[in-house]
Parts: sequence; structure tokens; C-alpha cells
Amino acid sequence: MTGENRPPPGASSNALPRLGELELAVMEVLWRHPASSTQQVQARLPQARRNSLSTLQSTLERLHRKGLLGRERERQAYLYRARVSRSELLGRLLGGVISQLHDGSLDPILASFVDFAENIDDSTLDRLDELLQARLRARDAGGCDD
Amino acid sequence: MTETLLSAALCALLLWWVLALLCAAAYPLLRRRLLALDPAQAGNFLLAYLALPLLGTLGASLLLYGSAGALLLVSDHCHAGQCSDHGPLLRGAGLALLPVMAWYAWRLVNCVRRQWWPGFALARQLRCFGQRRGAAIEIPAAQPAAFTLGWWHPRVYLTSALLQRCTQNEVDCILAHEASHHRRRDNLRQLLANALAAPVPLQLAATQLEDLALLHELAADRDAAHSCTPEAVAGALLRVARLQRAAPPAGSVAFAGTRIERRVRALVEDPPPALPPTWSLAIAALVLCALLAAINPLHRLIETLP
Repeated sequence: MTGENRPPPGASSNALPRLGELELAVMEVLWRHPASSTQQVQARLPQARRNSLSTLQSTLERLHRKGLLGRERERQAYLYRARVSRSELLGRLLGGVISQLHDGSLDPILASFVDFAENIDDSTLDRLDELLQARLRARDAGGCDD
Repeated sequence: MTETLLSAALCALLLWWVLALLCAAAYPLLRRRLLALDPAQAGNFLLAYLALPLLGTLGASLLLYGSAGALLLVSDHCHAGQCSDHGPLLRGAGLALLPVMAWYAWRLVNCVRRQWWPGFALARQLRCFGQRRGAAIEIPAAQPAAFTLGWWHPRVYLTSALLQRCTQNEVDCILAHEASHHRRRDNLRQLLANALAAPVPLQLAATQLEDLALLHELAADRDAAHSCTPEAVAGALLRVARLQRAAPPAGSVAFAGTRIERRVRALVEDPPPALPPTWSLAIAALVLCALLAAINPLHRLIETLP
């Protein structure tokens, strides 16, 4: 059994590579069924995503190059497993959202309830809380007067 | 005919650029008054202000090169014995047009490549990971976050961490806020604003674009305050701000911002007055008069260009 789990050259540990729909579907299969061969991945893909074996082989190869899959040779075939967990990938994805919000590149497509980029300090938050409490007290006092 | 078309195209591009620069430079004079208005109305005014250079350019081009405009608005004059109505011609417009159009095309391609396309890819990835939860999509992530992503069919995304750590009332306020973004197509409006500001260097247009984003947030807060209460929306804002501060995601850096402060203050203070619709009509009439008055001098100016 030959392991090929070293990070490939150029694979960044934090930056999330751009993934296509088939690539995401493959990752999903490998999170559920680690150590799967190409044929097994193909069989476990949803019907709508089931591609030819050669397309799937290149997708797995691409994901391996991106550093998201590790593989081990067993007899004639490779067994693939995800090198990042689902939550880690999601964390990186949200990290990507945040960094893109910092440089403003997501502004035209994303409206966030509270701007991730706005790292407001505790004293300001405390002050705003006091302001809100004062407003609530004034509202309640007004309600009692009525 | 070809020379007239090339001149019209070049004039339009140059005029758009000049008007966009002038409007961006004049914005600080209007900014304080604009931000004191009702946020939904101020957002509309600001978008109209950003569109003014392009709309003004289209109007001016039609009047400069249309026969009716030349007949009614340009004083009679002759060129080499020819005294018929005419549009102002630019010599060598064809040659000059190429670099100008290339510059516009480069800016557009750059916008798509660096800003819009990654947004599409991101939306696709998030949809793959998310699970429907009523009107929103829940993403199983450890960072508390809520946002609306997309233009034509924007989707509301909430992370599991946010749903676990907020009360139902806070989640309802957040959803009401995001539903307002969805209903008003705020992301599409922001995209349009970015496209309209394309001729201006980003540093010059940044204040207008940031203010528009702030006005969208303030308007969505006001909308949410109708279904919750202003205090409940302000409370939800502070709650999420604290949660995001307590669990900063990997790669986040400290950033001094006052947007939350402004939004909370806007919610706990009395709402600003909305201008009556007659004001919008009066402003539009004023702009139209200015445009009509500018046609003759503009025609003469273009004809004096080398």
C-alpha cells in the first residue's frame, strides 16, 4: 500500500480552492464513505451527477492536486479519502467570504446582517447596550403612563 | 454618417466619464443632507445620483446628435458654408474611440473577473453545503453569520452557530431584515451602483458605494422593525455583533467600523422624515433644465476640440 497524502506543492493550507458542483458532490461522497475507489465514488454519486469514469477520474485527480483528497494505492486502484473535513471546508469557505468582504469584492452580491469585517470593540457594544436599555425603560415608562 | 456615429460614441463615453468624475467630486457637498433623510428614500436618491452621469450622457447625446435637439437647442451657425442642422463632429474620433472603448471594456472585464464571478462560485458552493430551513438556507458552520447572497434570486443564509445561540425572537428579526434585502433586491441595486460608478476610480466612488450599502442596511432595519420592534432589531444586531466578536473566523482581522453603532442609534432614535414626492419631481425638473441649457455650450465646446 503506497500512501500519497503529502500536501502537493503549492497547495495552500488556508485558501479554499474554487470547487465545481461535481467536485463538491465527490467530496460529499468521500465524507460519507471514506477510502472509496473511483468506481465506488461513481456508484455513490447522485444520479444527476453521475459522469463517465474518465471524467470522474480527472475530477478526483484535480481534487488531489488541490490538496483536498489523499489517496492510497491498493492493488491496481487508488482509494481516495477527504483530507479536509466538511466543517473545515465550510470554515474555509466562510473565511473566504470574510476576506472577500474585507477587500470589498463581495459588496455587490452579499448583504450581511452584521458586517463580518466590523470588529467593533466591547466598550462600544456596552455603550450601545446601555442606550438600548435606556430606550426600553423609557418605552415601558411611557406605556405605564398611558 | 459613420463620422457622426463615431463622434457620438466617443462624445458619449467622454461625457459619461467627465460627468461621473464631477458627480463623485461633488458628492461630499450633498452627503450630510442625504444621510439625514429616510434611508429607503435616501437610497433611491443616491442610486439616482449615481445613475445621473449615464442618464445625462444618454440624454445629452440624443439632444446633441438628434435633429430635433440640434434644431431647437443649438444656435444657428455654419461650417465651411454648410449651415444645416448637425451634430458636433470630432476629427479622428474613430482612432480615439478604440483606446477609450478598450479602457471601458478592461474595467468591465476586471470587475467581472475579480468581483462578480467569485460571488457566483461562492453562492454555488454555499448552496451545495446548505439545507433549506423555511425561507432561509442553514449552513452547518461554527461562525455565527447571517447574510443574503445573490442578485436575481437572492437567498438568505444562516449558520447553525447563529441559530443555536440566538433566541427565536432574534432569529425572527434577522430573517425579517434579510427578507427586506431580498424584497428590495438590495444586492442587485448595489451591483448596479458598482456598474454605474465604473468610469470613476474606486477611491473616488468608494464613499458613495459605502453609503449606499449603509442606507440599504438602515432601510432593511426599518422594515424589520415593522414586524419586530425597533428595540428588538437593535438587540439582535448587538447580539450578533457580540457573537461574531467572540468567535472571530480564521483570517479575520480587526477593523474599525461604526456601521453597527449608526444602525443601533437609528433604531432607538426617532425615524428621520421622508421628503414629499414633489421634491423628487422638482429635482428631476431641475436636472432636465440644466441638461437642456447645457446642450448649446456643449455643442460649441465639442467643435472647438482639436
